[in-house]
Amino acid sequence: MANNPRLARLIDLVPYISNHQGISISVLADKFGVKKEEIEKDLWLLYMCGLPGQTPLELMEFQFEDGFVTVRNAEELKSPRSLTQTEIAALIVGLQVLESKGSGTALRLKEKLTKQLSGAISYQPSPSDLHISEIQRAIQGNNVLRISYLGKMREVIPFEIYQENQSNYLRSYCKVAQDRRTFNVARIETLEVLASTELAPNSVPSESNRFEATIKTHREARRVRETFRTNETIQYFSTEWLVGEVLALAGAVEVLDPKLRAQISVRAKAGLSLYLQ
Amino acid sequence: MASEKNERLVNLTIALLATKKFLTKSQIFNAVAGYEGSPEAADRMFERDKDELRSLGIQIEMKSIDPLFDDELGYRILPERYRFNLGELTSEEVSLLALASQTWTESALQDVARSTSLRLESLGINSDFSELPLAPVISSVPENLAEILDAIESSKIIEIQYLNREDNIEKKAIEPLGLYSQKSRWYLFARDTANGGERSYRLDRIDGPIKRTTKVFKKDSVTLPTSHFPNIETLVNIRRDNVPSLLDIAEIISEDDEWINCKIQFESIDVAVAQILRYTPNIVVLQPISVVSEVTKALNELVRLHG
Repeated sequence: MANNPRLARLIDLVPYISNHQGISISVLADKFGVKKEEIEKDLWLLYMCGLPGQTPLELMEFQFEDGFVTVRNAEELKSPRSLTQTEIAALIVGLQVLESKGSGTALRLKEKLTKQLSGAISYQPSPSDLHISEIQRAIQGNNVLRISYLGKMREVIPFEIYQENQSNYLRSYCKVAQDRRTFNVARIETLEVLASTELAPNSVPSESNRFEATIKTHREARRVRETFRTNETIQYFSTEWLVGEVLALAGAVEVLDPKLRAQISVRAKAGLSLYLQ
Repeated sequence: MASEKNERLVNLTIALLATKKFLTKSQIFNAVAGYEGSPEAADRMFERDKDELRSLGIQIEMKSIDPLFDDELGYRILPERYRFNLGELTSEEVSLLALASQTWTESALQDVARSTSLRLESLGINSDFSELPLAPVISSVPENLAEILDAIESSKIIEIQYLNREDNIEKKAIEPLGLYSQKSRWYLFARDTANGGERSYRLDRIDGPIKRTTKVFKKDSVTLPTSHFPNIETLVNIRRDNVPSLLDIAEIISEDDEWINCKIQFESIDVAVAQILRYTPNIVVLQPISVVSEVTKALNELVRLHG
């Protein structure tokens, strides 16, 4: 990434304005993701720049009129600068995602860019990459989603996606539970946007409860932390999920709450009896 | 002052782009305002400026310009290397590249994405950027991804703190070779300088900042570890109307009123054991014996711990 984002912006502003003559400063600010005042300062700085000698003839010529900008005499900087290695790598990954949706053009462009990259990069698109845009589409159109989650099929009315600790969560109204439910997008196994549209009933009670459980780690501390994001008190929404994860951890972790212990024990014993038959 | 520095850098870029012949340092210092102080100070300033431009992908070419002595160097920026150049692009291709950069929106690379996208819009190839379809989103991007990409690009040895199996920190000095993702996890493929071994490091297991050293290493062509194809086949019984996520990938052999008998491929024994335990007692593994014994051992352990 550029260590000096202002320099990148200064250099990128010139070709952008050249190709969008008469653009307003507020649109520029929006495009470049900074405040209007920042763009104004940038333009003043660029106004002073130009070819050596810096006679008025050699300087770039900016015109500001009622908040609209044009540039002339900017031959040298008129073309946008080339891509950095990091930018090429980022584009390759993006194209890999688009390619997985069946774009042949994406494949061709990816091959072209790969030739310009010195390191190696490869990205395996994950189902949630595609899920997120599908969910966004459903949110916009009020469509019902049919998802398979923890091995169960559910129909949900999606509200929003939010991020927490690098994970994406879907907040929704679950028609099966008749209540609000939050799902980890990465754990959605299959997803289908249904044609039917629906709004959640207004009288839905507030967000379903978060539960807490205390655990004790016996070994494989990293795996335990990565599963529960902590090695102590776990916050969770679904007992089904928690019990499943504790079973999957094969005894690396012990749950201390009596009710949960009983559930884990019942399932483990039921499982064992199947092997003793 | 920072703004003076940026003014100098913009002027330096323009001067080196505009010149038809290589410029010596003294010509540059005369032409571009801001190289002040002793000759040594100006030299140091110029070296730093070159690095800053390089980090933006702007390469300064160097050439010896004295026919008799090598020590007089000339500098310029070749416009054809400066310019954004991916060959002829159609407007469809430009739109697709913009869409590809947007997959990083709201991630650790969003500044990179924005800058790429702005330059695509500056190419003057007609594309309607306001009419782009909804881009898929790269759903899990570790915070240190940009840092890792930088490290790979610089071909310098880095020092990291890596969390081992028991979640303790191990210090490692590694040569970063490549980056890949699999199943929503990002891995840095690198060579350990301690033993020369190549392996993958999960980005989310790298603790704290990455320390760059000045030691350069040689990067030959890199082959990233190929994806982990399923390499263990299990024979299982799944209780009817349960665990559809595993049934989806199963090859069904026979079924009765209670159980569906099927084959399932997993990527490793560990994954097979974890998945089977997770859905116990709605799934029973019959083969291979190694998985059966791991699963029963784990179930015994779970019963022992939880009473």
